[in-house]
Amino acid sequence: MITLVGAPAVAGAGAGGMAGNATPTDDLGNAKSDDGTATVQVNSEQIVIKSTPDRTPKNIAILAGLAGAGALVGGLGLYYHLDARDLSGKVSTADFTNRPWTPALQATYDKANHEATYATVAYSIGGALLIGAAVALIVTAPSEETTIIHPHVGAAPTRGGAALSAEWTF
Amino acid sequence: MRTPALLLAVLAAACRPDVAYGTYECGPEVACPEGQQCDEATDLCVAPANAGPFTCPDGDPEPDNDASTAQPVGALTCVSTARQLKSCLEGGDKLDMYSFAVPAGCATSALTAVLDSSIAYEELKVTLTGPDGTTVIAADRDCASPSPKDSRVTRCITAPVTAGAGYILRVEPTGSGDCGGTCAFNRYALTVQLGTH
Repeated sequence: MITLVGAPAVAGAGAGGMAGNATPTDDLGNAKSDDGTATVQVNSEQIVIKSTPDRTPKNIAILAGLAGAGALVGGLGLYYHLDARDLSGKVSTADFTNRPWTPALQATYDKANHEATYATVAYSIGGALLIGAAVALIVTAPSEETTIIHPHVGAAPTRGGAALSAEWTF
Repeated sequence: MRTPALLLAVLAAACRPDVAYGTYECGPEVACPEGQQCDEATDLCVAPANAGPFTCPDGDPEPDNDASTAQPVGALTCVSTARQLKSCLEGGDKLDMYSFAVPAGCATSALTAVLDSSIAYEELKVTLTGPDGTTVIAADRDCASPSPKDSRVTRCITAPVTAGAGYILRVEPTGSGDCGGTCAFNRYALTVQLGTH
């Protein structure tokens, strides 16, 4: 979307009713929209509008989906991580336990290892999705569009005055 | 990209079990944590390089596989103190016999025998027989009180015995828990006591 707040006073007529307001301008005196998505450059021969379009709903949905999936899978990794940590705590030791290594301990050991593997995989996939979302956010950023308007101003004498006309071509 | 991947790897590795060498005793059928091996000399799970073979530190006097060569428990009184005999059944040894006699004149005597062995190797059983070593008088059972250690198995016999008679206690493998034959041995302590019932 392009939001033109107004044209610089020096631009005068030809900006199509945009003159006369207090308008944000850049260093060159060009009009800028408040949200910075469009700049308008005006001279006597043409009006140059530079704008950055909004992201499409599809693009936003894909980015949100990627980021959401990354967070979800990362959360799953955290769940497995914490579960594996609890299970590991039941068998891990640095001191003599005075206990034999039983099938129940082996089962706990195996489950802890499996869940640690699941956590690693989930962290990797979740991290990849989040990084992918960040990269896609950058790569799919809409590029700036330039629209040039050529105003044609005419004046013709009429009885008791003059007629002014203006037209634009894109 | 390498730093986050490394961080993830460290995070995930931190939740894996970490069992130090020598912290667990060998489990059934010489079970040990991954990367460790049962030291059959000490019944401890250790680094594979430090795992030694089965030994019999208390000795195994042979022959003792029939009534005539049974090892004597020693003289017992009608109400005796507990006498403990330590030995082992090494691979290929299928029987140890111990003989004892109940003193004449004892009234209402009873034998209490307790066989204590490691959970890591082939299971053992103890049987009370007549003086011929084959006539079964009493088979063992799980002791009423559990073993004081999880790594030990205790089997008990409590049976009336006759004053003036001789008996044989047979200690032999049950055939289970022998790792498919590779841990068909065990160390044991046999405690014998006479009392009244």
